Amino acid sequence: MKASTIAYLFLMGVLFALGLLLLQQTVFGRLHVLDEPKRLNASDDSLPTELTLRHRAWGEQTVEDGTEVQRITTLLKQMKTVTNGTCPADPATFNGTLRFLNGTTWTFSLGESMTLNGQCVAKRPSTQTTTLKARFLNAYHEPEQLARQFAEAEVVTWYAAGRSRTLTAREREDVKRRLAQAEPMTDYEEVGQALDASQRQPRILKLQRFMNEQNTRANLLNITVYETLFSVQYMDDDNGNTFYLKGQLLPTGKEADR
Amino acid sequence: MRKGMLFLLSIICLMSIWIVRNNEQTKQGTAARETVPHLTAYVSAKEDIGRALLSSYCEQAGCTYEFVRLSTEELVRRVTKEADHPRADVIIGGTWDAHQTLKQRGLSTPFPSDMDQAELQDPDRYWIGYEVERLAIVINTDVWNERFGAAPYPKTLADLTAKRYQDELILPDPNHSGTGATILQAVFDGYGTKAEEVLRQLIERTRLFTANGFAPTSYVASGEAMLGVNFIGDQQSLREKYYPVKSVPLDTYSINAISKLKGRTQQKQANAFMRFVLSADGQAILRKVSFGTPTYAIAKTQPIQQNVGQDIVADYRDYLRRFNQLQDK
Repeated sequence: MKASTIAYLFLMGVLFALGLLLLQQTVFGRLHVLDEPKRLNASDDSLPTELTLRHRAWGEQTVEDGTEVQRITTLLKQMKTVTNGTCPADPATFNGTLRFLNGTTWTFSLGESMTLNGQCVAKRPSTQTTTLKARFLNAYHEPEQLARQFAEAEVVTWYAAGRSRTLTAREREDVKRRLAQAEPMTDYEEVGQALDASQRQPRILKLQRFMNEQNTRANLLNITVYETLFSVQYMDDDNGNTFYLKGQLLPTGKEADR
Repeated sequence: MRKGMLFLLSIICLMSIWIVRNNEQTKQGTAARETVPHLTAYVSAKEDIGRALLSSYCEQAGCTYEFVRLSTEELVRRVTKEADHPRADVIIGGTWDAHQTLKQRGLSTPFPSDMDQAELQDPDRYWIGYEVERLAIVINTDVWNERFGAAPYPKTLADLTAKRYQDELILPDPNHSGTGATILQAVFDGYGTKAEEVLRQLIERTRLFTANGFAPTSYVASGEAMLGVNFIGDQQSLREKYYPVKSVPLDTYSINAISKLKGRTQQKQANAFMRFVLSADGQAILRKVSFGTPTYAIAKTQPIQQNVGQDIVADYRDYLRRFNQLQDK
């Protein structure tokens, strides 16, 4: 074989290897951003970017977790295909806005029925509406949000050993501070151990957001207080879910029984 | 010349080895992730119950998990739809009749249970009960006293059909809820030839049919409604939170069960999980997060024994059809 042939083959081999290397570095494992407005607008499947919720009692909350926004969007898209005539005029518990990357927004209101972009998509409670409500309420599970709700509640009643009383201003300030410092618990082994270690009957804090609005589920929130943890339950969660937070919310010992 | 050839071949070999190695490392990473057992569950019980059982099990078994919470009837629909490509390994919760439906549709597979309480499991062990619940009428005593004073409380489903309870009643919808399905079954089992009339009047009195079994209790406890029907454990959970609710137990029990689906690869893991749920550890967790009665604590459950194993599914489909016809009128 001639030296020129060898040189040619060598050069081709090097070029081939360099080509592979270039392909490896530039194409695979890279994120490609498709940001042409035409392409985005052409698709009904634009990416959801932000979800803002307004609960009639517990205020506004923005859902920032992208996975959660995507899950809720999927549920809303399933419901969007259903039209159900006219919804009854019941008060909405949630109002919300979902924003997409291409600039469009969807609005919805959810009570016992649900409207989406002005269309009635559920005349009565369904699996989808209760799932959505539970997901929306999940967004309010943060300690800071709970502390704010506690501060805004117009009536807070403390129940213990068959007796009840309202909290003093000083107690409320103290509980609010402790709520903001609490840590959500997701390890149920830990929850179980903490519940086992609880020596006394749990005390209950019942929050009523508006004093003049009695007999309304959406107006009520329960906090069950154990020694080292507490659980929170929104009364309008149709599944009756509770979530646990670590922290000593109320004083223990003699002071606790006053 | 030969040297040149060898050099060229060496370069190509080295590059090939590098590319193949790179590729294998990626595959090994994926394989490592795949060797961690992963359980997927559909949960019809409360979310806390599903999460508590799965996280506690996976903590000790070293697995990962995910679950989706669905109402019982929705769960049956989804599993049926996914029959060719099942997506969940285990079903946690839901009344036993739903698990019986899955068995009859050939969607679940038997569990090698050594539990000896025959009345709390399928005779062929396609589903196993982990807790027992009893239906009860729930009454907001504050609203009741204001409206009816010392009048006696309703004691049966037929009592709830009285005209004075018009729009005061909240019931779970049997199209979505296993609790609703149990109530519907109780009407047809308990009232014989009068069942359809009782059902018609109950539908007429009902202000709202909820998609979940728990919801009637929260409507009644808050005072948004005066009367409801669901499982007594849910009512107990809010009574302990000082809500003014009174339970009037009915003679209808149901079993909440677990089962595993056919056609999934994690059968061993699913068996181990089901064993855990029925173990002392699993039942201790249930005692903390659920208000049903764990099956290990049941000595005798005569009312359930009459039903378990019977072919109730075909009958139930007819009951549901009649419910929907009456509701549409």
